Amino acid sequence: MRKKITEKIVVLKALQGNKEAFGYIFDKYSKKIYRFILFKVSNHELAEDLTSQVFLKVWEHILDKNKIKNLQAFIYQVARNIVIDHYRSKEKEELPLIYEESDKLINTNFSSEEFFSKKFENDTLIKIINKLKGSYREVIVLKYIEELSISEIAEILEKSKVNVRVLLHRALKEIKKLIS
Amino acid sequence: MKILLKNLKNLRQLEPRLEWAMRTKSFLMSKIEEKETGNFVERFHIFILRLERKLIPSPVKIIATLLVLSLASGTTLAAKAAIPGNPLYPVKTQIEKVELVLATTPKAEAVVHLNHAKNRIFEVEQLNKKDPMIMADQINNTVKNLKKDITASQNSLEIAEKDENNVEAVVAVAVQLNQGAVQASQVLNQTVTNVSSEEIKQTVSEAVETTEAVQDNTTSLIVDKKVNGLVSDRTVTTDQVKEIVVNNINTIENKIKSVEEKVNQIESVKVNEAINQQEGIVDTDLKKEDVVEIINKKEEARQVLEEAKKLVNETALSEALVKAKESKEIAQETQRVLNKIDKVIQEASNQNQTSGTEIDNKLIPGQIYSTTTASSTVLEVSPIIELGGINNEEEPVIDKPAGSEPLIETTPPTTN
Repeated sequence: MRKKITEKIVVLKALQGNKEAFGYIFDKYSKKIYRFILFKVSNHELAEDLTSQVFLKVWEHILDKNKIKNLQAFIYQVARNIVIDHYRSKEKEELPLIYEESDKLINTNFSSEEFFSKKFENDTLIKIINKLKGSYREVIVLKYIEELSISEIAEILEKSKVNVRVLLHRALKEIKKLIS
Repeated sequence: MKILLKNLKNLRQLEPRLEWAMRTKSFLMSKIEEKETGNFVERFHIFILRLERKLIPSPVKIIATLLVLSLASGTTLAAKAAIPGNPLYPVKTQIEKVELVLATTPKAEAVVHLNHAKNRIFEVEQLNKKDPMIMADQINNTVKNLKKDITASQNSLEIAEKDENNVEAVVAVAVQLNQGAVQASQVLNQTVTNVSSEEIKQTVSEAVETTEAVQDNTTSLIVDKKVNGLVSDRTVTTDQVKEIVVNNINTIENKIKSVEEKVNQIESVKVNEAINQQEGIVDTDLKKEDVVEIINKKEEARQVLEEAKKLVNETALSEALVKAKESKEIAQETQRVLNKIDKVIQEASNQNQTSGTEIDNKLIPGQIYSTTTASSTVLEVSPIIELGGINNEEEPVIDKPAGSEPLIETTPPTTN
């Protein structure tokens, strides 16, 4: 509640053209949005470019004095749309550059139990996430990396909470399947 | 599966390049034209929202206000000196809740939380004088509250820094908070030597870690504003900032000393045997090379810290702070390896005890390291094991390069 009110104040200040408020928004969300996009495009440079575009859009929206009901959900929605636009303009999905080896991703020498009990390295985790389909990847990133609540994810994805729970359940099932 | 989901959090380490972040931010900021402060309606809206934020959770705060108003002023004064366990202590906590309600700006909130933290420091000091066995619960709770108050003050200060135009006022609070954090660390280090309960030691260690982080953050803020000429000498003089940096360096030096003591006592051969014994059994990524590396690099943190000291003497404060942070990171990295060693040896010991096998090394839980100093929290590793060949009665030999003494004997600076 308190957090929401603080964000409303920040948005109102930004609407007044307060530079500090814009700086606050960038500092708070740039890393999160970068990661969110990175897991969609699998390329660091592209993720950075698209993140810049996201904040430029958000700035334009605020400076045009448009109202924002939920800042966090709004920024994530802009990020989703920017990624979609990017792929539309490319007309085809770019191949992941940094994780091109993702086909070889899972070490099949482990049994399922061994795999779960092993301390995962980040690269392995990234490869597993990149194997998931887009909507599953999205909820896993938001829930387990950014640690957002179900209602926050529901707002971002514009889905019902039940839908988000179902997606999460399926995504986890898919991860289990991938590993075993 | 739980481990996998837990490890997903590690992916937060994926971050854009710092250089990109700075460049993009400055580009985006340049896009914003300075505009007149909003109209009356917008300003009124912000005022209402701020008021609303202050009043959450309002019922608790209203009750607290009524309670305090109903008390005679004499009782209120008496309550202010109360320590945990005293019948008037609940009155004191209620008064503090009201003080928070009355704080209307982030800066005021930071000051109120800081004052509460100072109250907690006083209480911990008083509790330290009593029998720690009897006062265990009170000590534990008070230390937890101290950690909470000092963190809240830091958070409010961060909001104030973004929110307020008055940099001087924010830095003045930062200086006070820095002093508070240093004082809290000293009292907590005293506490950890008094108590015997592992649970309380853990609580105190976590609180020390928090106070040190607050010290780091406030030092960075003060140095940044001073070096960039944003604060005048009326708020804080260059000499005072220098003292703050020196205090910060001294805190890091204590941490390094503790790590050096431990590293000096490692017997790499024995640790390697434990690693061999554990290979494929224990969930650890400790490698033999890590052990060799920390033994070889044990003096690196101190060398970097010495460079930081030199820079302070040359009044290159920002650069000194960067070096101090670098030094702290090296010490923390070494500590992480030491923790892994602890884990491996502990597991080896557990297995020996379970299997009943007698091994030459006598991996018995006891001391691989001598007692740790209380100043470290990350460093606070409970003594794990006694390795054959180490005479525990001997004082540990510590490699202490010349000039490792604190630069200047300092007392926390005061603001004018």
